[in-house]
Amino acid sequence: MTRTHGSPLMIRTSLVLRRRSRLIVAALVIAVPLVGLYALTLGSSDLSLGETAAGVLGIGESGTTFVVRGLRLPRILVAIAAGAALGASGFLLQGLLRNPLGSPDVMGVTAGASLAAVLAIGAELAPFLLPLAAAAGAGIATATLHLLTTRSRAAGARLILAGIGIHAAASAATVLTVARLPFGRLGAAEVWLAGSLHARTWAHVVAVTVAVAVTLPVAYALVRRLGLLELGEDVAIGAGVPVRATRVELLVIATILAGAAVAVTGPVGFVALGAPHIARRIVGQSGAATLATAGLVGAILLLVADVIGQRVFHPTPIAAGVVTAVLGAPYLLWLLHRWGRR
Amino acid sequence: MNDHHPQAHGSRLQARSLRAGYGGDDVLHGVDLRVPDGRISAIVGPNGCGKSTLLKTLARVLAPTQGSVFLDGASVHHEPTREVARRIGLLPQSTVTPDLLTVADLVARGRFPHRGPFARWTDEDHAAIEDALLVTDTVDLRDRPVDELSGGQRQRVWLAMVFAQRTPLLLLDEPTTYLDLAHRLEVLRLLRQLNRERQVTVVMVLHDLHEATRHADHLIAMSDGRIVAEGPPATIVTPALVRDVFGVRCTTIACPVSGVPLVIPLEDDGSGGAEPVAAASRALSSR
Repeated sequence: MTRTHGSPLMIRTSLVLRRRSRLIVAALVIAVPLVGLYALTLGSSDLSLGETAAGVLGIGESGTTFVVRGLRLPRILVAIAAGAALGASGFLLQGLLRNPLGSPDVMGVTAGASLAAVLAIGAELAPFLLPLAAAAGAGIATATLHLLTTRSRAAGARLILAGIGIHAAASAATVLTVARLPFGRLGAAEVWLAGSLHARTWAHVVAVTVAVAVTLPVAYALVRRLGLLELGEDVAIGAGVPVRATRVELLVIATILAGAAVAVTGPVGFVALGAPHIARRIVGQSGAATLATAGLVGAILLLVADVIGQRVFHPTPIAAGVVTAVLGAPYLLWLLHRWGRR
Repeated sequence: MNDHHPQAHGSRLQARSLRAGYGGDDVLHGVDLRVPDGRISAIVGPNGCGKSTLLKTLARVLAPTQGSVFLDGASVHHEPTREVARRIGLLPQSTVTPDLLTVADLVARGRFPHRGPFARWTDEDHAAIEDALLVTDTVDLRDRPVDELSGGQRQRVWLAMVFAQRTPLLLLDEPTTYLDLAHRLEVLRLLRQLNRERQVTVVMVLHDLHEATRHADHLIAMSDGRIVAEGPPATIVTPALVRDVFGVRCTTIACPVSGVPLVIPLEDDGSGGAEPVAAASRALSSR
């Protein structure tokens, strides 16, 4: 090693890395609307790509425009926004908990939302309150996790166990609640618990989009601090990260993102768990580009799950949440297998 | 204690009547310390004596239950942590290496306290990162995942990360533990180089008294949460100190290379001790 290496070397290295991750993000930004457009062609009557595009732009037949804009577009936009929210939420939580299992659907955040939603259905609250109840349930689950773990400064496996415990408790309470629902309310609970994109409206689109738009810039600002937290708490303190505040902020942002998604789709599994892993694999580093990639991959995963649910099971479509659950179970087992080997 | 080093040294980092510990039990029972600027200080003592606790409290990883740590006259526990991080770097004992993280990416994260939340990389950042890679001889590793490196390489990379922070003070918690002899020497030589060429003040916890004696300018010997002796190794490492601090009977001989005292433990009954020492002295002096 000599001094002749000079500064261009290092700068070039980081430029190559940055250029690669930018290309990946750009490719995904193009892929999301393409997959979305394809998804728009599916439904009770299949449309051609041209008809669909015309419908989106409002220049086709009025009937087509109504179907595309009024019925299908909200569903697809909810899938994109909710998928992105789940992917970003999983990325932040996995980084914070320093564990690949640390996603909202494993750590009880989603289960807390489900319990609250089922209770709201049982209490016969107005339908528009259901998303709010779900978001509140997500918040309560996270607060419980935080209280259970910060006092003991628990980290690693203990924290994961606490999350899995919350998940189990909330799931059991959900089953119990559903079992005691009056017959007339069972259908509503079942539909919600399946994690469906069916019959989403523009109100859902606005709700989840606002939540994502407000939290993503904060998430972006937190990524740099997360990058140090990942290296260990003492390293982060040494580098000047306000660790306690950062942990709370990360939990709050991750919960808002997951809560907003669950509120409009019901509990959709796997996306928050799998999207960040895929993002880390393809970007190969962790930072703002990985956060963006996790969000975009999350959007694509949920879109694809919805397409599979409609296409493969045509003519009786199944909910996207059922598809992700079927995809997610083997993935989780594979992950546990790999984790156990290390 | 200060009369151990009569020539007065400045001290940017000081502890006053420091008490600290874990979960309500104090491990430090009142520590006063003036870290000499521009020197390498080593904190030594038996397991559980509080040497790591002292380092962690100096580095504000632990909050004191009483007393204060002052950096340039202000409490490190109350100053904005980012401001402190521009002046004190820390290499803790416990670090986590995420999967797939490359050396360059890890080292670049050391720039955190110098960057705004949305700032782009500046020339100064690049220069500091590259300099840290050069000094630690890790330039060729920069695109490798950290978790694929050997123990010695990994420790150099972590040092590079802390160096990239460009602080005038460095705190290191057992930086040589788990390394083999060659890599231990390499780490210590690196710290010496940084100290000599850039006047970086180094404070490290060392497990090995011999290593500390050989590589530090200033020894801080601890026992039961207190500093029991402090000063240049040549003056404070004596059989009496080793007996009091480590509970080991020993004799000392001058190191044939550096002249610092080498600690030679004696047999428990005291009988077999003198002969091996004499033999060792002969063997060394005949070289």
